[in-house]
Amino acid sequence: MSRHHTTTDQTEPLLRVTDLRTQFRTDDGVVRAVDGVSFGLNAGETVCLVGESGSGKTVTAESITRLVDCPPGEISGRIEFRGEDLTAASEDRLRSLRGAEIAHVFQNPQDALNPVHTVGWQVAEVVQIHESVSRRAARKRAVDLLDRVDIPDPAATADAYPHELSGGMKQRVLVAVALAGEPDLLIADEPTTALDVTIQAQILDLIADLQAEFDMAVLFVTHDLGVVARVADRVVVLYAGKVMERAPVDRLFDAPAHPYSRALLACLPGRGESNGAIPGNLPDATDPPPGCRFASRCPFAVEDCHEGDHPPLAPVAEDTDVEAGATVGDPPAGSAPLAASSAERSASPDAGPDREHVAACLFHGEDYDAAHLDREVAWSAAEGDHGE
Amino acid sequence: MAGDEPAPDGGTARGAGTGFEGIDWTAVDDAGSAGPSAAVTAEVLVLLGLAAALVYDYVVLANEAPTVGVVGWDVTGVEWLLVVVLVVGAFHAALPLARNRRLTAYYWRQFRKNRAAVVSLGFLGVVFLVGLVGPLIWTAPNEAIDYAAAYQPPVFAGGSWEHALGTDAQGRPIWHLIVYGMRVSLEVGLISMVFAISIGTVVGTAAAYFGGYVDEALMRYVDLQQTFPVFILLLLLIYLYGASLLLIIALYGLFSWEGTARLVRSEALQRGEEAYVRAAEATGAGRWWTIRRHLIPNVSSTVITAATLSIPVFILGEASLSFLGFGDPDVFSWGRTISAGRSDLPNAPWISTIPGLFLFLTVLAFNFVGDALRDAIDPR
Amino acid sequence: MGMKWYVVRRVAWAVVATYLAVSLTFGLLMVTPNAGADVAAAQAAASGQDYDAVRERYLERRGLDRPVEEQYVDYMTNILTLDWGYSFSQGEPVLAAIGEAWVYSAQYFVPSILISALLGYGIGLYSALNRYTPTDYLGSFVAYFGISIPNFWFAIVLILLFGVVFRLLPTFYDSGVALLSVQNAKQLLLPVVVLSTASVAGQMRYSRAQAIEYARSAFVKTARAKGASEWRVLTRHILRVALVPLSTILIADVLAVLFAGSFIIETIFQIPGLGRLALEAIQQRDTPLVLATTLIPVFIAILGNLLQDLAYVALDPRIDYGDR
Repeated sequence: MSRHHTTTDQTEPLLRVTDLRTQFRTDDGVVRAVDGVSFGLNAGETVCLVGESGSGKTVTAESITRLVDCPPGEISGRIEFRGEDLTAASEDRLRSLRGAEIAHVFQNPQDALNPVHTVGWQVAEVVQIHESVSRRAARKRAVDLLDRVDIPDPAATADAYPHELSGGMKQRVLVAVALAGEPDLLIADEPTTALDVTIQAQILDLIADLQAEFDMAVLFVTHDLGVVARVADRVVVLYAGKVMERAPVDRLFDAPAHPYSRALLACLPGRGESNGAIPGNLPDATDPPPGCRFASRCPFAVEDCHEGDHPPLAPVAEDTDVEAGATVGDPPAGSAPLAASSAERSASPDAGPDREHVAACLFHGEDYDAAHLDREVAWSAAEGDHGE
Repeated sequence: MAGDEPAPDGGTARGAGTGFEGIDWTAVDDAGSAGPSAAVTAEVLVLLGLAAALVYDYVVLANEAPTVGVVGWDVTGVEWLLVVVLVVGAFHAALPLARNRRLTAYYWRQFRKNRAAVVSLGFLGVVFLVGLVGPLIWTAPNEAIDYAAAYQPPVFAGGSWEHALGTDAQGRPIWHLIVYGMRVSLEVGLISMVFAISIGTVVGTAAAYFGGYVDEALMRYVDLQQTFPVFILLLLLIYLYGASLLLIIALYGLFSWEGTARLVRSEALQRGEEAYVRAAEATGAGRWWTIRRHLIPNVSSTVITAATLSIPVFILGEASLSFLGFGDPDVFSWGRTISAGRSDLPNAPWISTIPGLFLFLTVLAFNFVGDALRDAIDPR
Repeated sequence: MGMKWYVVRRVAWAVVATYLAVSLTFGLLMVTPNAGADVAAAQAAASGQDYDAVRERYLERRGLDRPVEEQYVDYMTNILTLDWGYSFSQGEPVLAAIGEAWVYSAQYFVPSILISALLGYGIGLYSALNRYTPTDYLGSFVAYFGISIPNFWFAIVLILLFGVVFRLLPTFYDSGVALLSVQNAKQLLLPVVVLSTASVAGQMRYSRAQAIEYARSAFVKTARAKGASEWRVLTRHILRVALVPLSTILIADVLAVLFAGSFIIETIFQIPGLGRLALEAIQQRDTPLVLATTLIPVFIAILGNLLQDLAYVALDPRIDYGDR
């Protein structure tokens, strides 16, 4: 799991999450919502956390600035922001980071604004919390920000209450709230999921524009691979609290390595034969079965997949994506040589941290042949009928 | 979408609850087919039998003669009502619970999580039994007057085991006063509750279902009733008509249903939007059929909680009235006993404090059970 | 525009409610035998006069033998013009008796309302933000205790403890004590504690439940993500939003609990306030005074509800004026 540290002589990433674990104590046992997640994020870059509902992507995102309820949530591991470990930071320190250095945009704009304050007040609040400015100055900044996120007649809208705005407008306000502290990192948790399709595109464009303008890094949480294709530089695929695959976005789409990633991609309209859902359910988060978390739903699973720990992240052989645009199920031109050592692979010129491609699957490990994953499998045959 | 991640606490329980709420209870009810009609017949027969006995008691038997000769129990008006309430309760609460074993077991597992509530339920069971049967075992306080035995302290304060909880100024054993007080509390709590909850449920569902002017008129009335302080209305009516337990029970029942009506209305408005109600309407079910078979059973979780939590309010209310001297002079309410003991507070504090403790514990137990029921049935 | 119409409607509703309440009391008087006449007739009969004749003369003298609608108009006019009649039990006009009594009631009633609101909300919000801590459990315990303990019994036990056993506080109220004195504060302590216990507990439970609901809400998460301090989140976000539903319970619930409690408190501590006045009136079958002491709490309740509806306008920008 720590193999990717071999190339840390690069400049320090803006955010580096190492072996993050977040768990909740409940009546039914300890829920391991995030169970050893690692990834990095460079300044100005967009990384997507992708996964189904319950994969732990939101908890991961909210663990970074400890927004998860804590207790009952317990966070361990390392979260380095500009080299500072946030898991060890005091609540005061985190508070000074939240909104100023690390901002959030949440999923549902309907509930994310306080219903009894004007939107102008809510944008100005960020300025007032982090800077000692007059009320007037804060308000002026708020109006400018509302203007910047393309809200028509910002001065009048600043005096409006959230219920007077549409969903898309509210999300623009929330983006303005996030921008108010001029953060270096924006954590956007499904910011478009609750919106109409046309509005989604507008918000995505807005975030992209602002990212370029303010040189922000964006950690984008989504379940929508269409959004991923549009915004991501790199992608982290999560499943049941574990990282399944980390890859540059082109590699993920062209040569998905993990069976789970392939299944997700197969669900995209026009790819593969699946009709929108992966058969089966997430494993029990309080008491996961041994072996690979995905094994019970994986059509390639062999006996070893159901034993021991979740497989470690292993580099994916570079040449699997020789044939650009390969669809799931197509055999790649040249299969990975069985005995290629990891050192050999990471030594290849393209394997810098930004081009890192790893997958947590036995078949990408040293004892198996990844070509096994390329045999023809009908996804729907893996588990009976799926009527969602 | 909202349930993206496991909820920090009780995520699974909530999941189960949601699924639970989604069940159309009509289907569950009818699962044992043929059963319901038999139960309804049995209930009607029992109630008819009671009515016949009531007529017999009032028309044939002399006023002074005991109704149930063997144990010498002369059933009074309020007691008749209590019997009716118990019969209705048996057919509409105990029977369905016994029939749906799986469901009952589920409720019980949820309920059991709350230790205090389980202990409270046990205590209430004892109060219920003693209140029901006790007056047949222990003599009425007025027949136990014994001036020679006045002011005997309870056994823990140096008294004798003969009167373990002591005696009052007229030598009446405190225990007898408590037993008869239990009966009064039982009557007030249960009968008023059935009155209030029935009216509240009917008004609430009707307002939600018919909407428009019906809703407006009913809710305006509820507004008015909520504005009018019930306690003062009660004092006024008791002033005008004289105090009797039946009047107090009826007044509490008739003037304290507005909270239930509001709850049920908002619940029914939500439920009315759900698929099974729409489906029932689409298949051409009549309005009352839809209300009775679909809406009412499905707001039952709200109603059960409201019912349990209204009982202690009624018990406390009646005790307060009796304490002030506006209670029924013919019954031994706990409030009355506590009031009577006030003048002896310095020399015989047990007369007021022991019945008060029972009143306190009973009310406390109902509150515990009510809250635990809400958590078990309606986890939110 | 919508707001003005809403305010007009709420004021109109308060007027209608008042009218209905007064009419209700009239209706009740009409359908029941006249208590005052019975008292007068019984006294006359005791002194050898004819019961029925005296009774009739009594009714005639007060115009009670006239047609119902005439009496109704009279009754309503009298109530409206504050001509509330003469109380024979107090030997003075009804309004004069009330004017003397209300001072005593207000002395413990006003502090109780303030304590209910401040302490109830304060503890409720605190335990909501510190769930599953010992303080929260203690708070819940106190809340159950408060809503379950019969206030008359609680008063008796407190008098027994602090008055009889420890002799720290007086066992009853002495109206001869100066209003602003330590002694007065001491004798008001137990009444205020007893009266506010139940409503403090009620407010605690309710505000805790509300605050927990809002503490989990998305807008609170947004506020935290802005870097807001816990205090700011609590006051500017949770409390500010929770005030809307909490304001409704404050008036309706607190008034109801306190009205009922005031009769008990004044009886036990022998405070010569409105509650005692009402009880004496009922015991002596002094109808004008009974009516007055019934109507005053009703008017206060209606006024309280009106204020609460108006508070809504100030507190909740989402209010749908058409719907209420």
